[in-house]
Amino acid sequence: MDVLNDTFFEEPKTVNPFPEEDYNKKGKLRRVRPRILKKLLKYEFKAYLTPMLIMLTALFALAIALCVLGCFITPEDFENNSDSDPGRMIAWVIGLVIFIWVALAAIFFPLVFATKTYHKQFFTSQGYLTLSIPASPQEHILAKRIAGYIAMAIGSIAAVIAIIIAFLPLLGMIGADGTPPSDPSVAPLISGWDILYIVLEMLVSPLLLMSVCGGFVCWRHRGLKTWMIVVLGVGLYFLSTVLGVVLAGAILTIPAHVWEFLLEAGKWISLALKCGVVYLLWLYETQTLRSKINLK
Amino acid sequence: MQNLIECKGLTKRYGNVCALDKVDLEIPAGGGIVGLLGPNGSGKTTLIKLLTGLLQPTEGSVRICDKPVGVETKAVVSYLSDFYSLIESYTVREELDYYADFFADFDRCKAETMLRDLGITDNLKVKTLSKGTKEKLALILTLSRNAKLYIFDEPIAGVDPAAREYVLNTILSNRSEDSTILLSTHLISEIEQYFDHVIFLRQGRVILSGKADDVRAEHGQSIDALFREVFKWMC
Repeated sequence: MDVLNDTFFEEPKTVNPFPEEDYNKKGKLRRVRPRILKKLLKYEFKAYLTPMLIMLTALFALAIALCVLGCFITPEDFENNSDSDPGRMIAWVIGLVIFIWVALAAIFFPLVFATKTYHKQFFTSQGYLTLSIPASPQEHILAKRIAGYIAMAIGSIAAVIAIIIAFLPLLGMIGADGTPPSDPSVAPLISGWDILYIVLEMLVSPLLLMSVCGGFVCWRHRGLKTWMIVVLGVGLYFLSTVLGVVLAGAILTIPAHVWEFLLEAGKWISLALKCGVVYLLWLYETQTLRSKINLK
Repeated sequence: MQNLIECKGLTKRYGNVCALDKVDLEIPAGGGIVGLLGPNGSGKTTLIKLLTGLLQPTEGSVRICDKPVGVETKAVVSYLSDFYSLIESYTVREELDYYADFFADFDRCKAETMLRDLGITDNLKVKTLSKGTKEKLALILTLSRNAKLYIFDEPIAGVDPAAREYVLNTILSNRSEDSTILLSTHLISEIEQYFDHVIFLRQGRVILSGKADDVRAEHGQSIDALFREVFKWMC
């Protein structure tokens, strides 16, 4: 204890915990400070690292195994004639089924992991620490969303690469027939607006999924019954996804070109609704973290 | 002198249950050791949670260093809850990194010295540590901050007498002139001599608040005896 006493009697350091960059022009502390966000992200990525590495290693190992199996498959195997070997085909199909599940897991694992850590960090005893650090609810949630989004993107890209690896021998088989699937009339149909829509959809849809999962954790904490949570979660997701199209599709008596226009408008309305739901859930979660948590 | 803690009409209700009822409280900066005393259910933990920003008041206000409780006050308050608040999947060293990253006032050298003195290896995973070692680690992390206000919620309630002595010695040896220690407990006899200021809470209300010496002189008995007298029907 003597050593401890000596240590404690040292002069405390005076450190400014809030540098100037943390304040806005009005002199108020920013709700989202880049330096704190960076630190939170560092710990979020750290949490994802090991499970993601395991998941992606399993995915690529399976993809390579499937690729190797695929090298022994001949076009006759698909035609079920006397030259085919059913053993090869059975092994390949089993490998394919496992591979599909692992590929799906790689894409959706970050979502499950984010939900689990969200609950653990804020709503269990660990919340005493997480909620005691000088970070705002907005910073906490934004860090979770960004890390989750990036993890989902990595999972999805890895899944696509793994699919290409797994089917490489079969692609060669298609090429051998000399009929590459190319249709020059497809390319002009994709307009700049379509590309913008696809980019926005890729940005918003994963965020919506993560927001609904975050909302789910908060609803549970705030005492909503399970059936209400399921109805709310599924309802919100489908409302924002389907409503836009349904709104446009409700009028069936209109001419085809107007119908096409409305369908086109419907997907944009759907996108806007998704953004609205993401924003509403953001407000709900920040309010829950700020004032509705009572840790046991 | 500027107040470190200032509560005005502070009220917290959980549904129909009123945990804190119009609490007015002022604790000056450099207030030494403040004993937050009361039986179970008197509102001690609720008051602490309001001071640490873990709860929001239903009515009234609470300020620390003249700022409303929030992100800015969390940077100057070091809090040890009555639950483990460690990240179980981290090693001890990672736990230190976490504190160093988020608390500007965290003194890593102080933490490492204390860990060495207690023989806690920093490459061990927190989940592999014993209950007592986890408690010590949490205490070390809390005390290694050069905070203006340290808050300990029942730090000696669930520990054996030997560990209790360690906990108290460690907390008390951290006394510095410019910091205040708010310590909630109902085991008063073991710590009474160190109190500079005491607050008695009963059913969510402050029924007594003052300097420990003044309270003793006014009532002609020790704080422990006074506590037993005031709460004899409730304990």
